[in-house]
Amino acid sequence: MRFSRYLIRRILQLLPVILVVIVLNFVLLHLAPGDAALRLAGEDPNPAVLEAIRERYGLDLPLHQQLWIYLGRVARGDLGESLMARRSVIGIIGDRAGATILLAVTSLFLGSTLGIFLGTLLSARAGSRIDISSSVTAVVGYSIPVFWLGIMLILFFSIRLQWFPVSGMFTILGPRTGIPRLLDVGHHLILPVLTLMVASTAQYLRLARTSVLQVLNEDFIMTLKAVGFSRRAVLVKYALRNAALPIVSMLGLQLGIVLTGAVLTETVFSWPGLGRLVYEGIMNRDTPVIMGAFIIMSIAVALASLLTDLVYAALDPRVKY
Amino acid sequence: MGRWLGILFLISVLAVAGCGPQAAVPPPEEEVILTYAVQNDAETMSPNTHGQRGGGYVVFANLYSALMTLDWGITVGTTHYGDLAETWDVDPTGQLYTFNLYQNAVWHDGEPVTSADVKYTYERMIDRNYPFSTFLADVKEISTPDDHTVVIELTEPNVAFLPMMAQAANWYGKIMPKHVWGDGEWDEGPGMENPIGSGPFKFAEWEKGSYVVLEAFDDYFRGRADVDKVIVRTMPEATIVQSEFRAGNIEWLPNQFSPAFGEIDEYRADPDVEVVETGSHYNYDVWINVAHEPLNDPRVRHAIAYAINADEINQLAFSNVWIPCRYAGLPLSQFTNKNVEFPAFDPDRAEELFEEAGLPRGAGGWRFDLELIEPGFSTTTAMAEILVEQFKAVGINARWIPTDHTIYGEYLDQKNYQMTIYYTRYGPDPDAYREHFATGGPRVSNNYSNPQLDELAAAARVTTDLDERIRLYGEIQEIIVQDAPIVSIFNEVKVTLVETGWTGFAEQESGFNQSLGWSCVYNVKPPNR
Amino acid sequence: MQKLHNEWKERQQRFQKFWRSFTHDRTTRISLVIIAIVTLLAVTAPWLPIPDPMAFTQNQYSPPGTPGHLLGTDNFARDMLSRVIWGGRVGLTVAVVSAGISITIGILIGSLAGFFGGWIDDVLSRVIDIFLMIPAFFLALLIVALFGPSILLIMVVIGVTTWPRPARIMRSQVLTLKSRTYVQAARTAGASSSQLLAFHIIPNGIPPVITNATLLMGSAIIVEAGLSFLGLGDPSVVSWGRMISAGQSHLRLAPWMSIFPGIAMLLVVCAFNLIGDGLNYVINPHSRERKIDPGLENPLIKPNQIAKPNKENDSTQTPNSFFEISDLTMYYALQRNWVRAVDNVSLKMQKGSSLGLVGESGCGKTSIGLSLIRVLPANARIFDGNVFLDGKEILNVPDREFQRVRWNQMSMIFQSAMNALNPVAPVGKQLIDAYQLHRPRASKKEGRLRVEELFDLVNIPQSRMRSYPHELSGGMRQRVMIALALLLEPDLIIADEPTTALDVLIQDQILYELDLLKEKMNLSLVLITHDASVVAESCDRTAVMYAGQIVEEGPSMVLFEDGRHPYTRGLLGSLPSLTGPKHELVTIPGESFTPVGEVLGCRFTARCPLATDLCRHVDPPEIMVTDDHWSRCHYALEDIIESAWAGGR
Ligand code: SF4
Repeated sequence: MRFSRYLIRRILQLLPVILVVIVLNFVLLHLAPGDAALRLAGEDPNPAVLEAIRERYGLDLPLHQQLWIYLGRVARGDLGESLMARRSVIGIIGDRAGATILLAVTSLFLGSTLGIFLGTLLSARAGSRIDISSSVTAVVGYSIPVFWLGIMLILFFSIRLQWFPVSGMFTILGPRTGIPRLLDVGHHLILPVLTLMVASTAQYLRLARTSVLQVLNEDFIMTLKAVGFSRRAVLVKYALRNAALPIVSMLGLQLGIVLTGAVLTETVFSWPGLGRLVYEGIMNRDTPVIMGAFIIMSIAVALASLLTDLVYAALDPRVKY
Repeated sequence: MGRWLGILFLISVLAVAGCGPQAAVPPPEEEVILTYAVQNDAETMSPNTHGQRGGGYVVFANLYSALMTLDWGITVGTTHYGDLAETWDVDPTGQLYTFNLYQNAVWHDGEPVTSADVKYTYERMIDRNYPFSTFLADVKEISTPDDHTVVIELTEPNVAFLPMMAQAANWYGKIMPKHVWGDGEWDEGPGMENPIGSGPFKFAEWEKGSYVVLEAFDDYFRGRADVDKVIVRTMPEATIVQSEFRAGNIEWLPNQFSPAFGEIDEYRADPDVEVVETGSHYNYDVWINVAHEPLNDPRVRHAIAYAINADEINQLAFSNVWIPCRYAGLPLSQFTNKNVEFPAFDPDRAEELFEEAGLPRGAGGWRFDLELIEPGFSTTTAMAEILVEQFKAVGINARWIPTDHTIYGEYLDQKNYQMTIYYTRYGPDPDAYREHFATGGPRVSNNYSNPQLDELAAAARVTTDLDERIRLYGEIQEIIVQDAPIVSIFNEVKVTLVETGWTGFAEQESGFNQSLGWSCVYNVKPPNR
Repeated sequence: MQKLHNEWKERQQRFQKFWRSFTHDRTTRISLVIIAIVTLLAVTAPWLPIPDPMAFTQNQYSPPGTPGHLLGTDNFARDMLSRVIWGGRVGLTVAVVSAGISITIGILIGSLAGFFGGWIDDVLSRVIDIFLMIPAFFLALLIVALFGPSILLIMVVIGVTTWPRPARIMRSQVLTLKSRTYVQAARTAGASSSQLLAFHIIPNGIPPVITNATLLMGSAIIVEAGLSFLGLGDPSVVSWGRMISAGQSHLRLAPWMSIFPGIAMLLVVCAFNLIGDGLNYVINPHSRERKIDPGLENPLIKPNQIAKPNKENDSTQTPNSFFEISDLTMYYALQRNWVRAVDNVSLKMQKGSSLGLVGESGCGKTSIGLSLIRVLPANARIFDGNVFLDGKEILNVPDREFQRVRWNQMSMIFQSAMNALNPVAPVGKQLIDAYQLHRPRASKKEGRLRVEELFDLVNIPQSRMRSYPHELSGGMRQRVMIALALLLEPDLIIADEPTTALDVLIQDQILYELDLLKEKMNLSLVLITHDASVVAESCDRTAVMYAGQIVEEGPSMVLFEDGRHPYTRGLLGSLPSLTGPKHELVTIPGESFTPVGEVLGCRFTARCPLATDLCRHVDPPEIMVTDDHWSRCHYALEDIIESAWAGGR
């Protein structure tokens, strides 16, 4: 009971986020120069063409009226229709979200797993040469611009070694269904995931390393050692579980970072994802698409942070809803 | 969630294990597939309702037919020609156009293409003020004497009517099937995703954000295309498109993806690549806002012309591939008056003129401030980067204001920039001079106005006598060079890379006047055919 | 004036101390040097003998090493070296301005929220949360795309989209600082809210925000590069991001066009991040690991060492006591020195007896316990000694063998029971796990039964087995620890401050119970404590420890009544004596001594009221007072000892 009340409260807290996103975008898009109508009217339009377009897309209404109409729609769960594609924004986002989720979740999953694994290993050798050099390497890992890394990986693995396809998400006219399809997508997925996961691996590595070290410095670890648990058992069975707390709490934050990386990675690898959609939407001043995508992304980040908190609470008995 | 993660994990593990490559099923051997890239995904499969950005035009060109069409290049002889129209005719008044449609043209669903479709399409465009209506502005009436004849009557004679509408057909103005759309709106309903056209290729598949697949249409009225499948891939990053081209996964690299000019020599030396250079009816010029102080002084505009070193720009930005051009027209056009030229590079003369115009060097050595904008093409950004420095050399405190496509459009619309690098389109008909320079013309963004020029342009539009037109446009060019509302710098050269052996692309000789528009690949043939 | 001067001096010292520990790390030093060089080049760029970064020279695409163009030229024949240097100017500006904007907003909003609390905090915290949910990069992308990419706008946008994190950090800083005594004091002294914020709270709360700022600086440079890659870089300035993305299209012809600015950017971003790490280490010293510097030599091998040479045949000597420590020597490595934490300590005990080990904190008493049970920190090393338990040597045996002694024969109760238990596991489970570790064949059920039995023994309701440590009271947790120590019915328990941090009533209760258990189970008990009263109550014998050495040992009664070492008299004499009149409770003046490296003379000299030149130069020997009482003081047998603290302490 207490839990469901908590959940409802958390979900209600999303409303102001959505409201702020909408108002912010509206104000920005209307303050800024550049007019979607000009873009929609094509080459050298007659004034009549422009006017017709403004009227057809409701761009001639005063700002507050447009905002009001839009809010009403969102309240009904409708994110409107793309100015360019003339399709529902939810449909458009739906078409693209899968690719981004696949990319983001895979790299987040692999990045965090690998990072935590390596970080834990290093914490056991804290202060050694390999530890210091790995830590510095990790800093390098998240200081590399994602797009540059992506292009370098393509040049080396796809062009030079020809191990992976250069770009895209699947072989066109390739397999459609079943295992071959999965393999095909998997094969295309490797380089983008690698590009995107370098940063999160590096961050998780550092985080895991410090949190494990911190836990290892805690008193109860001394108790465990005194009782006679082996280093390994202490590390794997106890320290890691306790170190998981700060690691888990980074997940929500990481999603935002991965989404950022996604727009760049998707651009480099011609990956048909959400990040690219937002970018194109911005370039087209396709207001409904931009706002829809912002709303969805904010909700995703919020849900990730909710999930984080739930997992945290499950791991740490001290946390109460 | 757990299952999802499991699947993801499985995918990655399997993929990492390296079982991927064999996944691609090789297509049947006889099938000819042509793949090329666009920067942005198509937005819808319905043309005509609004301007597109990228992918759409390229797909529509193959999916739909227009009435008339036009190819690239003004290299002598490029002219509009019929797409659905097998023959056409203009009456002596210059107001009555008759088009005879191909008898055997059919829609992808098997229905015949009739004059009713053309009438339906054009009337709908005019009624809804769709973008193509700009080019139908003079249409008084459309009639259909029989199933395969369309008669269009204009309110006044307009020699540019056909070429302009043929050119615009590269963007929109595709003929729509009346029996499919009927009274329904063109931006709603099943046709958005499942288009029926009458072009050489029919729609097969659209994986949004990734690619569109088209298949050769067996009953195409000109005969089935040689290419069996066309794949239009969405690829935002030019560097990667070039990589795919080098990897042999893409056969055609149109102008917007062409590599840095500096690399062209390397490609020229590559036997697997054909470097195609195509002339164009676009000049790249500096447009000067004549309403802006001190640019309203013609001496200042001339001084600016003296300050521009086209050769340096050509060397640095275009590896000398482009053609410096000081005419107020295209180097190869018969309408170009080669007796008048914009001033050649002479910085000393530029400084003299500035002094004369009362613009001495002031604080910091600057004469005045100048903001330069450009539309954000790789070519114009390169020009801007160099021009700013050349202007600084003669004491203009020039600053490059970055814009994107949309903001740029707004600047042009508001006519409130100071100076821009932009193209001047001297075709497909020299009536373009009116569009670009006559008072209130659709492409006059710099507030330029000269009544004498207006008269000449109006006269040239209604005469069909070629020599008279050449004379009139020659005079117009004298005025332009005199007033210098623009300063010509280059005639653009489009650089296209094609995998050796492929022929029939719009940029190639072999596609010349028969490729059915800039983006249609109907005439494209694979090697050895 | 003087006060101001002192304050200034103190500040200076504080800064020096900070700077020393900050620059202790090599990577931090290198990073600082990188940033310094880049800053220097960036600032002096206009006066350096390099070409104008915008000037077109003669040759396009000159490779690196071309005369006059160390790093080559770009597609416009501009000098790459000059462009990379000028790019640093833009890069640093972007970094500093963006981070500056971000933390300024963050500090302002964070401190307002934290300081005023109430509805202001509610509103501001909600705002912070909301902006944390909006993907910052996309917002930056949107704004820059909409309003045109000028470098000024880019910097402002990066700053404006990243403020929530510093705001959140600042808020929690202010929340903790607000309740600190000096802030409260200033408030009582009449400081206004704005004065409090400006002079007391913000300056002290800023360090973690600064750490965050260095990380922001790095990411600002990356964000600018990302925007450039998407075509949203300011073309009118030379930035690394724009150079890299421009270089992408010339990769085949001139890879150096993107490589050099890439390297420069990578170096600077890494340097910022590493400096952030360095600052973080200084602020949270835990995160720096302790380890033994490999250059540190074994102190016992030095020629003029103080420690006695290894005694021959030690391990073959059969002790006559149940438990005996002899010559235990354990040092900590501290930077370039050894700290003599346990220096030649020898102790003996009979079965069923109890020994109190008292001393101030830091005297080494806990180190003895840790050495015995073998849980030493990474920078500790045992150099010498033997420990005999029930006739068996247990210090110099392999871990595997020791595992049989551990907990079976000897167990330990740790201080501060709150943290000594795993916070995220139920206490019962923790005990069962330990039981199963040593009794691998025992079923879970057997373990549970045993733990239930123990809970009964230490007076905890069995239902509490499912509780987590934070759900138990302090006394209850300490009982759990005792139960844990009794788990396998050991003969010897080392209890390290078992009652510290408990209130007096519970302290007594626990000690009493411990005493009962000891009698009941015939346990031997080593009680380590700083609290003499604890020893007085419950130990047969007492050993007093100072600066790594036992200074006096003997029956508790004797030591309390007639200690023969000035330190003992100071420490134990301060107690309400068992029999005699009450003394005042005053601690011994002066700071306790840390024996680093070689030590000459008596270690108590500095604080001893009786110290003489002899004390200063000659190490006092163990002087037998009676058969079972000795003291490490030159004057142990003299009457003067009794007057040690007569002058008042
Ligand atoms: S030896 Fe000297 S300094 Fe040391 S305790 Fe005895 S009197 Fe004091």
